[in-house]
Amino acid sequence: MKKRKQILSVLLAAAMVTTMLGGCGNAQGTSGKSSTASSTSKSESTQNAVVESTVESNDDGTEDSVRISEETIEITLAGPASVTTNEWNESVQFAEYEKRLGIKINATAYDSEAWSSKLTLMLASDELPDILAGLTATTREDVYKYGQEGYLLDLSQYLDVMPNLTRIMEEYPEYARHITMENGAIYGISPFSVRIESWNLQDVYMSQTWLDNVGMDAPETLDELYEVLKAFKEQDANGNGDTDDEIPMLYSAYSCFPILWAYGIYSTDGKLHEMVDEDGNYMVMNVTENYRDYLRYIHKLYKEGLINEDAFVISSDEKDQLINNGKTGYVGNVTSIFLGLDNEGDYSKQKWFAVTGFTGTEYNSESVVVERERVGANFRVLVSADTKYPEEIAKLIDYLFTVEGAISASNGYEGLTFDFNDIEGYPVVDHTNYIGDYESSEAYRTRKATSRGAFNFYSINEGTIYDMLQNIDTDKLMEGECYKVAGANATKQLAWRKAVQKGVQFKKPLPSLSYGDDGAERATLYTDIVNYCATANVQFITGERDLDKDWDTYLEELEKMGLQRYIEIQQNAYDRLMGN
Amino acid sequence: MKTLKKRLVTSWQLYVLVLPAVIYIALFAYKPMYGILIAFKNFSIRKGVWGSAWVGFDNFKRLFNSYWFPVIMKNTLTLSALSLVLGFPTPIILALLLNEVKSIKFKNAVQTVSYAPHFISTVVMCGMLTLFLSPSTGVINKIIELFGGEAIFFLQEANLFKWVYELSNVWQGVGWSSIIYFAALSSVDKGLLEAAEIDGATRMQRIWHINLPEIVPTIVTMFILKCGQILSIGYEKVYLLQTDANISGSEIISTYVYKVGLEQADFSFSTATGLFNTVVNCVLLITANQLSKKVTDSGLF
Amino acid sequence: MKTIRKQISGDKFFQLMVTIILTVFFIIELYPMLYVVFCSISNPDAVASGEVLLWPVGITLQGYQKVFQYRDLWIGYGNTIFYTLAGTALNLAITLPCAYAMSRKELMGRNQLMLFFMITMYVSGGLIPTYLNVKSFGLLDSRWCMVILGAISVYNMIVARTFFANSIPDEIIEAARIDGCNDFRIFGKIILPLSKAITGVLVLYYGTGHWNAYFDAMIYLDDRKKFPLQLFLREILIQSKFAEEALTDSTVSAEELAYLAELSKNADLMKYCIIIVSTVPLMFIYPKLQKFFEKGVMIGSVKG
Repeated sequence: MKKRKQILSVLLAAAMVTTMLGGCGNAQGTSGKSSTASSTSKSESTQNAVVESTVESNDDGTEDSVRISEETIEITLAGPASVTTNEWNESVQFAEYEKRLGIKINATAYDSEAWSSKLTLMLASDELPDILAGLTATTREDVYKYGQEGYLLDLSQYLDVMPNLTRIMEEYPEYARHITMENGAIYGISPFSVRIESWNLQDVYMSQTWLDNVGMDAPETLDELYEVLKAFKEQDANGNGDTDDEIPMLYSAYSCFPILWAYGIYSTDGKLHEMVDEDGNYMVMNVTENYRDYLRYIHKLYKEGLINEDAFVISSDEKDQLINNGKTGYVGNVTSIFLGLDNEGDYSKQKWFAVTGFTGTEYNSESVVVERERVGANFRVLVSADTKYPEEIAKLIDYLFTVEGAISASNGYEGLTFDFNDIEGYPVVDHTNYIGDYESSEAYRTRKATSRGAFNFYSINEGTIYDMLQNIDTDKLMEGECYKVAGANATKQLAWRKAVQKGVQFKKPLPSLSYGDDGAERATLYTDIVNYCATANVQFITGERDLDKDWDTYLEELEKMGLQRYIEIQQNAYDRLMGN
Repeated sequence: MKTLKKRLVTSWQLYVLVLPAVIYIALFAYKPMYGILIAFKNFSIRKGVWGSAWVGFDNFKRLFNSYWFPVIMKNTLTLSALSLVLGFPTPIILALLLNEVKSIKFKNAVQTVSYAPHFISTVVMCGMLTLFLSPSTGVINKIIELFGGEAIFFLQEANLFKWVYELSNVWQGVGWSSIIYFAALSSVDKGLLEAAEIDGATRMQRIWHINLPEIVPTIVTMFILKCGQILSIGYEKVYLLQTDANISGSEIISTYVYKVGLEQADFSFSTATGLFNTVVNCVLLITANQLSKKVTDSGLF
Repeated sequence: MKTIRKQISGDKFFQLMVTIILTVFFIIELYPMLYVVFCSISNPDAVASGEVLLWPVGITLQGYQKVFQYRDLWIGYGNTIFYTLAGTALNLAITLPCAYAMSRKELMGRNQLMLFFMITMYVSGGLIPTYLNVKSFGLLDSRWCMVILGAISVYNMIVARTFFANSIPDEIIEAARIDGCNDFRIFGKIILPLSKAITGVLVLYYGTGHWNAYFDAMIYLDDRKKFPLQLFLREILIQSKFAEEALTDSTVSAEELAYLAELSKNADLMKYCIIIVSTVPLMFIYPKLQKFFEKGVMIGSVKG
């Protein structure tokens, strides 16, 4: 037994080296320029398959993953349910883990709204399962607290059996910073995406059809945007014969981002605009002249009816309806755009294209995009400090950072739950042959092929449309199969390529922070300030408060609320994080 | 002394009748009540209630020192006061009116239908309200426009919030709340009513002098109990109807605590706020009880 | 003679006014439920855009189909009926005797007892101590937990006490005592038969409470076979939130988002069906309970 373990560890070491090499290849692919396209993912995935088959190969020629435990061990897992409620244990993914890895997972899923109470009670009665997983909504702050109190396993002790995680942490310091707490421990795993850059673009879209109908080009400056929106309003932009039913811009936090960025406010929050400048100074932009000028601009749009009048009371259902019925030409982050994927008519009719930051203010001469975070703020996998199998679980987590592991968590296993389907020469996972009674491929994937939400924290390009999007020629991007399957993502890729050509500046949003002893004080300060800023934002835009007369009182009130103290707490937390 | 003992002995059976309730309350309400200490501690799950460090009134200070504290107190009291003025008398009026209906079928139909909205979940109710009050498509604004008015942005105006909240509460709850008054009215002496009719009393007089006095004890009890809930307005409905625009009129104690809790799960803060509510509620309850003893000569204790 | 005629016409006018007011009220109160029914059989897009108002638009039974496809629904129904019946029975068995005794002046120290009860209306130990307490009784994940928790509501007890104190004349009790009845007999043989109205109210309050309860089940139950109906219905409703949450989730692909959006659309439709499915049984029971309110006549005859 002992000898077999030794052999296994040698094999593991071999696998480690090779996967690391493979990993470097992947990383180059994702961070390099799209035009290089050195290797297609097809060859990459076969490379990986070869890597694994050198480790162990069955007589029938099928390839096996690295077995983690020789004798099958059983570990318990709990988490909030998502889509599926009681089907985690019935997934092909978990069944294969038992077969391939020697780990049988016994999962309990809870009502996602009850989860935070459930977690608290599990902690209070000291009855944690081996693994907490899923969309646990556990913040960095909570994880640090629970970890310090001794509830959670410190994974940093096991990094020597976690080569893939180690590699990713070396390659992406922002990820390492996020999961490594200020005391050096790693108490859990956050989602992480190594997808193509265009994935990082915020979802803000404008309709090319509307632009064509009013005979204008895509706006680049704020003045041009104003002219375009005005044209949308005055003309029959949606081409239905009625010149009065157009809502030029559907107000939302997201549709305002490109305007906000133009004023040098690099935030991706709708209410409190926080950012850190080049020198590492934390700032709240809501009290700056930048923000005041931004509000002037939005107020002008609102006053002239270029933004929907019910902007601040409209429900998300109503918004979806307006978009689906072709009533608006400029929108941000709404599900109905993606619904368009199924509903070819509407989607292609509007020809949405992704929008990047506008220019044309004294604050900013270049177009800016504040990217979506690659690092997910909340933690997805936490391990109990009392588990009997710390090393095995560490290896399991590391397995999920391999290509095979990541795909197993997102799609299952080739030949069991999916085949690779060739789209424009790129292999894309296709479940069609396996869905059986399930109503759609997604239903099958999320309910049967995988235990959705439990382990899909590492997002990669391999086997997805992103691989194709990264490498396909620009002129093929918006047509044929590619556009059909990639939809909004294709337009984002196009926008990203254009942005790179134009030399758009890409900026990162404020990373998530943790506060330690200041946490309680910060929570009330934050609530006070955000509440006030949210209301003031509306009042300045609608004109209920005047940007000239009421601005000073606004600033004074914010000071009274303890803004300075809040900034101090945030700055300290940021410094602590970066000092790591 | 002897009489006291004698009274205790003769009424021992009454104590037996109370006993199951006392045991339940002792085991399931008093036994875990030590949790209230969390309000005075910096609570850590690991250390438990007893092991966590004392912090005195720090958690209370955070609430009182908040910039929004005066606002949320004012809003909470406004909503409660409105609910006393609107929400309290309407079920009584409904019960008295329904009691005058001769047709049993009509009476039963109105009763059953008036309970029904009680079962519409808060989420759906708020969804309905948002739709009905929508400035562009909402039915209420369409009616206003029909009569030549201008669309009102109900959920954008901070000072309209209380009306939206309370009128919809009455709409949803009046039937359900009137049940207890129906039941109380059922014990009115029918003979007395007939006698009054023969004596030439009008319907209004009969309601005023016979039916109403019969349900006064119930009204008093309900009123005192209601006074004990003044600060405890649930967060869900208010939170669902809240928009960025109406926060200054819609932020109440429970929504505020909920929001702080979203930033950081903080048992100490929410327990402290709960305890503050309790103290204020109890003061109001005792005042109402004393007042009622003076005016109607009956109280809860 | 003249005054009597005047009085009759006055009464007629009064009756007319009452009928008009209550008819208007009837329509206002009928509307929300009717609206829910319309929405439950309408196209969800039409509901979202506010087209559904006075009749269903784009009729579809898909919502009900999907709700009934949910295989756990019937397990939930069975459990809820059990919890409601057993729970309400226990509630009555504890609340009625307690409320009666508390209404009697002979009960020494009843003000102190009242305080003992009322404190628990305002002060509670909070989630964690309460959970640990339930655990200490071995009630976790047990059906009995759902029956025993909330065995008495102090609020309802006070309401019942008020009824006993004011609707049951002392003379009846005095008379019974002289006849040699002890307190148990008085309560069982005389008081209970006279208390149909308040018993009806309590059944309504407690029963509906049990029927709609989900929080305790959510916290204390793990085994899905024991879940009440409302917990399963909530699982359906929660699906409407996934899409919104997924918008900011880095691991969700566009296809998945589309699927979640579809689920959310279905859940939007089902949320109306769910209200109907869970409320209809109650609507059948009310008219039966309402009859109890008429039975109060008896007291009058006893008094006379």
